[in-house]
Amino acid sequence: MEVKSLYIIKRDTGVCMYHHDFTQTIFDPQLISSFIVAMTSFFDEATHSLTSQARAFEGTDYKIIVEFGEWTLGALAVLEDTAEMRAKLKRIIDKFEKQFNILQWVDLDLAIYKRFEKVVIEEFIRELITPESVIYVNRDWDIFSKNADVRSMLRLIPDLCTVKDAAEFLEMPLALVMNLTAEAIWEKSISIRSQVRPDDIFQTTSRFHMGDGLADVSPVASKALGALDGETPLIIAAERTKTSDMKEFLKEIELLARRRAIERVSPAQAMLILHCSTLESILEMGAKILGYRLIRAMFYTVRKSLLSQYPWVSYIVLEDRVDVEIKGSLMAASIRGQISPDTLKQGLIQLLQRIAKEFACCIGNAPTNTSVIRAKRLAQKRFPSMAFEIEWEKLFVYG
Amino acid sequence: MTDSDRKSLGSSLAIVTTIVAIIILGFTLTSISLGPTAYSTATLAGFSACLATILGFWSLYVISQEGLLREDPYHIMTLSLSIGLLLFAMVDVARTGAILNPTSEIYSYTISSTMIAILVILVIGIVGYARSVNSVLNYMKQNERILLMVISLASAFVGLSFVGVAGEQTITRTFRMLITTGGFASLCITLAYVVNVLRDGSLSKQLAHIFIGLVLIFVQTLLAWWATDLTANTISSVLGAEAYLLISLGIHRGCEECVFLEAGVDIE
Repeated sequence: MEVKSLYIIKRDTGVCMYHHDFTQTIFDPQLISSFIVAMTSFFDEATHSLTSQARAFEGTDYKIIVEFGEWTLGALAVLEDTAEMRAKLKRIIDKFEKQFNILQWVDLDLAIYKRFEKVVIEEFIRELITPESVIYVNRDWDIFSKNADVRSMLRLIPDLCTVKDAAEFLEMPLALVMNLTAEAIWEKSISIRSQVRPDDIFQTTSRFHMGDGLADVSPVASKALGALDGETPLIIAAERTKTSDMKEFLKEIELLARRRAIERVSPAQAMLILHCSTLESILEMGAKILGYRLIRAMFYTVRKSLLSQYPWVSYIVLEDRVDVEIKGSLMAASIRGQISPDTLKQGLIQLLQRIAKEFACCIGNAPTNTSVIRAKRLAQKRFPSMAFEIEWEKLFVYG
Repeated sequence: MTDSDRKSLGSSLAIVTTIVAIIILGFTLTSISLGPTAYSTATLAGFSACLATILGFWSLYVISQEGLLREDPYHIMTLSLSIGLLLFAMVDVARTGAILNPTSEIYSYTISSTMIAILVILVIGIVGYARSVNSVLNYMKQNERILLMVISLASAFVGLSFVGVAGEQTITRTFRMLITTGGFASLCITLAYVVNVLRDGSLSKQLAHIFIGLVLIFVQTLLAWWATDLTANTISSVLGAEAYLLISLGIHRGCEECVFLEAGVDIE
């Protein structure tokens, strides 16, 4: 899990009002809350600032990010400091302050842990669970698990199965099983991992470059690792290395991911790569009809029209005919989570839409729609589970 | 040459084309009504040759702004048409010689050989482009390809029916005629398919100019093989000149759009 621990601290007193460890316990909650309040006070005094300046503290393999509410501050121990995590922490703080507002003035036992549990599960755990997530039941789950429904479920399902398989096996609605899975994760009875899919995009980590975690990896997988540049989906990497057994290849990738030799790219980066790949397909098809010169001129004209609304679009350029190139600044921002997947999606779909309209002026609606359908098929082949993220209906031209 | 110079020249090309077309038509009608002579017909053929040369070089200049040789089907098509225009000039020069020396076979041989060379170049360009469009839009199925071949052969044999087969020279001439008329017919049909598929867009207007130009050349080819009197030669030269103007206009319209967009101006 990306999130390790959550702490909500009252600013005036430095008392930790709520905490939860998603994995093993890292810090004593009262110790960490005292530390954070002391550090934030220090930064405020040092900079003579009215608004608190401290934002994050970094350890060896974790970071503690801090966000401020009106009368509380929240601290989250995470693997990476991203805009998405900060947004979640802010939301949690706002919900906590709204639900337990009275604690601002008085100290009361309001059964915070019990009443706030569902909110935290919804914010941090629920979204991690998909029907394809693989459930790993922990060895001593019956010691940790208190929820009767969760115990019943874990007693029946195999030690290793997907959420969807579990729902089918138990003959229960999928949504219900997903909720029970969330509860089980909360109790630390199980852990889940996303299955490696053929359209996942991975990139190598520093551990890979140091040679860690590469023992007993097959030659084919080692060869494919060279193609994992953070822009190529696994299916394409496998094709390039002429892998015959895709299942075996995906298992090895999963093993390398568990060893942290490779890691999945961020959602924003994946969204960027998906849309740019589609853009390149559409431009390539247009160039076959209209010529490269006109297509390049068309792209830059459309891009210019979007600069006022989405300035980051200027970091997408065409190199060598119609090869779409994402400049380092935009890629870095998407890696670090400084630009959200939704923002990228909105801007890029606008770009694709306007290019489709320009095409339609030159070649007519029907040929444009045919090109869009071909691009969609190509995207579905390269990114089978992500292609639906593109709003294809917006690209078709009518009237 | 600046972008604004190119734009103004491009706009002028359409006006110049219309004026030249009117002059050619006027001269032709006058010539035919008064009775064409060898010299008036030869003059027209020579004029057609000059026109083809100028338009050919102008088209080459316009399309070579981003490099002459590019792996780009649309560019290869316009390049082949530009080179074709220059070779048509050679054909018209040879035709002038043939008009002035009707008994000499060398001019007839030059015309037909150069036409075959033009045909090869145009096939590379136009068929290559049609294949590229078909790879994206898949508008031409297997059956339609066979139909295209059948119609091309049929049109070649239609031309053959007008020529009597007698003697070795005539057989050679007949064979060259079959190739040229059949070849140009298939080019016309291929381009017609592309124009039809893209009919709702602005690109179809450019391609339609080129298509009509090729049709006129096809008719000119048939006429040249069928009738060799002065009236037919006059009409043949006129058809050629009109065809060159239309092809050049089609090429230029495509490049004009690129220039407008590159200058940050949208074409309506």
